[in-house]
Amino acid sequence: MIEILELAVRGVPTGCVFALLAVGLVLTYKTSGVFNLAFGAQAYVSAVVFYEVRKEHEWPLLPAALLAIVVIGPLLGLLLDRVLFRHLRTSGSVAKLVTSLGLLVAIPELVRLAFGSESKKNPPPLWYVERTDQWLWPEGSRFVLDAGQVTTILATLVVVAGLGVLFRSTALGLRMRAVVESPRMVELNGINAERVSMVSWMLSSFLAGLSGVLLAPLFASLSPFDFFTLLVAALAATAFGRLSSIPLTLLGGILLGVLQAILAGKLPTDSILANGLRPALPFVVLFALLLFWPGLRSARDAADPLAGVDPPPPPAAASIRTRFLTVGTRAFAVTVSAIGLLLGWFVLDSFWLGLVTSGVILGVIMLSITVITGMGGMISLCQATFAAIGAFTTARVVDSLGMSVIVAIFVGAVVAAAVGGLLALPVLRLEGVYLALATLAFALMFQSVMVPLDWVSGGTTPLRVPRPVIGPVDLAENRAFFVLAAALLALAGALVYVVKRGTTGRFLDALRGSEYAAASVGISATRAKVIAFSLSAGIAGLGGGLLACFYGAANYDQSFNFFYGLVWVVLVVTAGARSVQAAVISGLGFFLIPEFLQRLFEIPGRYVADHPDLPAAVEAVLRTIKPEYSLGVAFILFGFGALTYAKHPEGIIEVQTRAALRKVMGALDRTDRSQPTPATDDARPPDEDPAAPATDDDARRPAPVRTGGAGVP
Amino acid sequence: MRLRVPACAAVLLLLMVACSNSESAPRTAARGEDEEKVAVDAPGVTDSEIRVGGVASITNPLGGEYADMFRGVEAYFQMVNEDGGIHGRELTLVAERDDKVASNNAQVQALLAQDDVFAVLPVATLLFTGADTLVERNVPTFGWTINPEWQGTEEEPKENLFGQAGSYLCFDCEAPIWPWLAQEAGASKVGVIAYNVAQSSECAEGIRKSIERWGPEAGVEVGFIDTSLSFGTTDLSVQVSQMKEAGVDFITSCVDLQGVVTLAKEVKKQNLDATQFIPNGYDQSVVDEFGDLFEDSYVLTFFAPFETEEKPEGLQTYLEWMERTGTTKSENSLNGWLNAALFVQGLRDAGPDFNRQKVIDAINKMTNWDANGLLCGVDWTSAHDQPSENVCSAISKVTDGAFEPVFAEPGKPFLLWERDAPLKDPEVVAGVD
Amino acid sequence: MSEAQALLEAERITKRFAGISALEEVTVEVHRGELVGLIGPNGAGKTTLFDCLSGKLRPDEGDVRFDGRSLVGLPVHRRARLGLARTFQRIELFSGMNVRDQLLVAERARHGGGSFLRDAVGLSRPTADEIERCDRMLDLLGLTPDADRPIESLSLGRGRLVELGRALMTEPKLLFLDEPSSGLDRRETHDMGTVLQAVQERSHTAILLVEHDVPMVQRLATRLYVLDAGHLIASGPTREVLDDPAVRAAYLGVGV
Repeated sequence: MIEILELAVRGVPTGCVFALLAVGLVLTYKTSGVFNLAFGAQAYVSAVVFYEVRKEHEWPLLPAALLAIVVIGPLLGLLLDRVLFRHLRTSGSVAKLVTSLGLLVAIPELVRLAFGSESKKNPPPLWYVERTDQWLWPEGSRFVLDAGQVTTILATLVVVAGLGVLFRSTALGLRMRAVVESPRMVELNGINAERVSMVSWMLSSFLAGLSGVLLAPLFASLSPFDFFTLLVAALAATAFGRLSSIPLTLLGGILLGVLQAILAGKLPTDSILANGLRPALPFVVLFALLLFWPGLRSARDAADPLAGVDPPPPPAAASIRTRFLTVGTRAFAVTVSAIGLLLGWFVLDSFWLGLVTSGVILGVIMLSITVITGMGGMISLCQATFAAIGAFTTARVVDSLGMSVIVAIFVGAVVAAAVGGLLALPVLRLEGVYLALATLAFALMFQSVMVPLDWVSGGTTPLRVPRPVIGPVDLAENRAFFVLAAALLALAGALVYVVKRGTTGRFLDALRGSEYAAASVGISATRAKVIAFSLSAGIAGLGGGLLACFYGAANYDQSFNFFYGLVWVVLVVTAGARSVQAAVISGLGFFLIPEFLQRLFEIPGRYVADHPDLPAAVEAVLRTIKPEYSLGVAFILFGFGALTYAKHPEGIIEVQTRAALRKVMGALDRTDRSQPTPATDDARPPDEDPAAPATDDDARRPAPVRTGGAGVP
Repeated sequence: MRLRVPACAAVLLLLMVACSNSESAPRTAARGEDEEKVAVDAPGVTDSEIRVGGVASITNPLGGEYADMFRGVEAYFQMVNEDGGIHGRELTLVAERDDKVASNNAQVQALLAQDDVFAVLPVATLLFTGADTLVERNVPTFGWTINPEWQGTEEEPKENLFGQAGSYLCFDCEAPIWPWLAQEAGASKVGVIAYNVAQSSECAEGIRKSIERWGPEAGVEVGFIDTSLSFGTTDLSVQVSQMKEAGVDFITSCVDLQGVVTLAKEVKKQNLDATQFIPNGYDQSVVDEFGDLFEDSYVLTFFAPFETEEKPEGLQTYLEWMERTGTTKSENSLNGWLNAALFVQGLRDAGPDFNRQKVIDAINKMTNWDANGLLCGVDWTSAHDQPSENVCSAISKVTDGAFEPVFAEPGKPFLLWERDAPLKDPEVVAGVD
Repeated sequence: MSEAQALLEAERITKRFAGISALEEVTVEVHRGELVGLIGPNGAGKTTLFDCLSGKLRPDEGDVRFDGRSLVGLPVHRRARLGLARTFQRIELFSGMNVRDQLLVAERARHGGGSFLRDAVGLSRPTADEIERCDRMLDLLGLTPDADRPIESLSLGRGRLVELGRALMTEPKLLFLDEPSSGLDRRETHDMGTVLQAVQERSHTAILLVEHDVPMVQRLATRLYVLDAGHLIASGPTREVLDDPAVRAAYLGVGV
């Protein structure tokens, strides 16, 4: 018993680390409705600034801390609010989540561009020592704390107490909570919601900055990924606090730390149980809490009671097309695909062919996001995991049963679909952010429990997947494989298309429009969503198996790391979650954009090399552009792309399509004015010109038809 | 790209040590060019130059300075070219590709399709997915062997892939070095920590087996082992308190810098009196940064440490050229240098009418490649797919914030054990003879 | 099952939210083919009662029997397939679909239909029969000119008609209408009443109508329930109930 107590005490400092991050997350969620997965990235910004001024420029402690925490932190919050979240206040939780994912992808790369990518070893503590362990208290005792732990524990307690006072006893705290409930209502009451939202963001970013500087010395060198890892571990604590209670979140964080320490001490250290459970503990706890923690499940996404007063979203481009244009677009798509195939076969060298093939295969995986998010209206953060399941299954089936690789890829897809269906059953009761978190927990559990196992991933040596031979065609030849990949993409695309147009797709459309109304005509939400989940997982599994086959091995780290799952969602949603071509384009873009940028960034360097007589200033400027930046810039573009989601939830591709269609139709209108067809009349987008569709002779009020999303009172 | 597990790359480095190979062989070919130039029909070879290109994870989440490997190669090429080149041609490093961790295969394709290279070097990548392509195309390839793809098997020998000191990777090989060093440090109970990541925990398994095998002779046993740490853990307080309880007085690990630093801090905090053996800790920048934390710790190298007394010729040349070219002396630049050295030696041995196959064959005939004393000696007839018969490494100790070779003698930096023999003190050697 | 037996019997329904009672032992009956009105001031619990009957909410106490079987524990979509349909006070149409598609979805869902395999081989396009049924419904409701328009472009009155049509496509035995005239002007309200009468005469669907518009209730309903603060305060033939002084005091107020 004493021993358990000792272990528990040892867990408290780490528990406070979880608690500090979790409290920051809960605060942001409470005051802005954004589940800010980029919180760790924000923390990283302040940590890097503190590192630079304190260590590189040797500032004294106080000014350095003030700059990093009190200036940079809130400033970043101000910026985020002004540029982004202010415009998102009335958006749904999905839009907010996608935006924060975009930031998560973009911010670290921006920091890298600004401060260089050299490793930043030994981050300085927020204390008058160079390393946390240079100040110990009480020295020599059994439970000694170092400077980092003392500051973290104190800061956590002060923050929790401070926030308690803020929310309980100040008018500002009350307003902050009100703004989340209904920004419009608040405005009607004469409160300036914009100002309150701004203060909220500055406060939560201040907290992010504080966490960043405080926690940085935990790491041997600064990396945004470490902050994110710590943050996802802390998610369990936010779930414990039901995403709303700060004291409960604190308790949750500490309990998590304590539980971790007790398991570390009590489970036999090299047992299978310890191997699986200990690293996965935070995610297992998160998953379990999401499913079973009373009060969390009923805490539905807050819907603004006045949301209905917004003008309805513009209809999809497809619905404003005339038949002529539809045929035209399809013909265009077919032509482009044919040209692509010919290019791939005849023109591209093995480098570009390899990239394009990877992109085509990723397009298959991206289609799985079209199904789950575009059709199903759900955000899943574990699509990379389904792809991995497909890949591992393919490898195992080929290896142990000697099955044909092509068949094995489909077996992999079926297994992934089955896992998807099984996962769907418990998690489908969750909505919005909660569903996203549950799928993230699943991805992390898979990564920390299953992937290290020999029989799953092959351990140290990735499982080999040979290339298939179909009749006389040996697909070891890259061009042949490219054609296979394109064919399977076409197959998957066609499947998604017919399902989208078929009963399942229509039912999902209906459910997305209004779940209650859909149920009231007899549509089973569970059934439709389980199908969507399974189909999505199956398509991801298909893509995963194909990717493994293309690369010759099922390499988890290269292709299926959970973080890719997040980036892919960002990409697809940005390009347009509803359309098949957007999925294909984002698959290709993921591989091609960094390479194009690389080529672009090589130009200045080459120019400098070729023109030795350039003025020094010009040369200096040109030299700042380095090809190494390409990946970072690509990720920044991907991330910023997601930020457009708020304005164009239907995606960039769709917006462009619509703009192009409008132009085409405008031109047609001008030429065909003499013989207007009824089709073009219908085709005019209603949001453009509410008075125009004059088929109804009533004097009409502005269309206040309420559709979409959240439940009835 | 934010990858998690590639960070284990650093972990793997130490495994090379126990696996590099050795046997005696005469030194071939001297420096200087007086051979005649013969027309050669090989990719990437023109009348005036031999083109090579490399790929590294220049953009990587670990802050690893892998681009330094290019500098090592460049310095070696400069040395050869100033000396008149080879077979009447200059060596040029035409491509330094960045695979950004995830696009290794594509970059390898680009080296072959766009850069028109004769050989690929250096390869310093966290994931080596282009290996298959290089094997299939039979391109002489040289690089940093932290990836399992370097290693050949009987069915698939991968004879054209050359690591800096052998290509065989053995994550859980047994080696007498752990029990021996513990015994030397006057310790009796060893603590081992590792992540629950395949490479890391297999490495810990190797250490455990080694101690079980030779430990009894040395009076050394495993006092504590934990292979379930989550990657990048920030708290080892429970583990260290358990080590303390178990009376551990010698600690070793299969973890990255993050784990090593966290461990050292916790050991200091809890005042655990134990010697630390940080196999992959030979990095001056780390010692500069963390100073006293690693004082008196042991580190391991597969090459002659830069601080060796009476430096072997190969080391002297390396240090001299690092200074001349203004390159940091580090394991990364050394790896590039070693890659280039082996390639050049292979070219020389292949003769003036060389081609890819001849270079590969020439290298695979070498039975004691030691880069002029920089290495202990690699037997390339077996170093692709078998562990060496001997274990040969150098050990240094952190003293006053610098590395000090220990157990060595002037001019003899390496310690040599037979792999399959009862535990005894190693032979102190300049190389395998 | 005798004709005398009620189609819907909701007995002593009680529902509390956080301890506050929204419905207290409310008992309601609807017979086949009958149009029954349910009135009460805002917040009386009318929508809550609908939610309990249609399965969205689970009552804390009480039993709901429909067509001779107990509905306790059945989810919304199962009740819908048994023949319970409804419309919504705050209109709930499926966004991004045109008018005909709203009805087609309901037609398809009527039997819980739709097989994924049929989708996958492209066999689930609307059949000629389905389209015809939809077109007849559109015609009945006067929506034919709007059939291909996205619902976002409809006026509220038209939207309510689409909702009604969607509910009717499921061929319900009983239809819950939640304030179908809310937000409509006088003329639209009158039209809605006419449509309801036509519907009822044509299909003999029983209707439970929540309505604020007293003239409309008077015109359509044969019987009336009055709900106030979660309690049923009156029930009986429309005229009698409307004349009840207690009802007038509680709901209609002075001057009606």
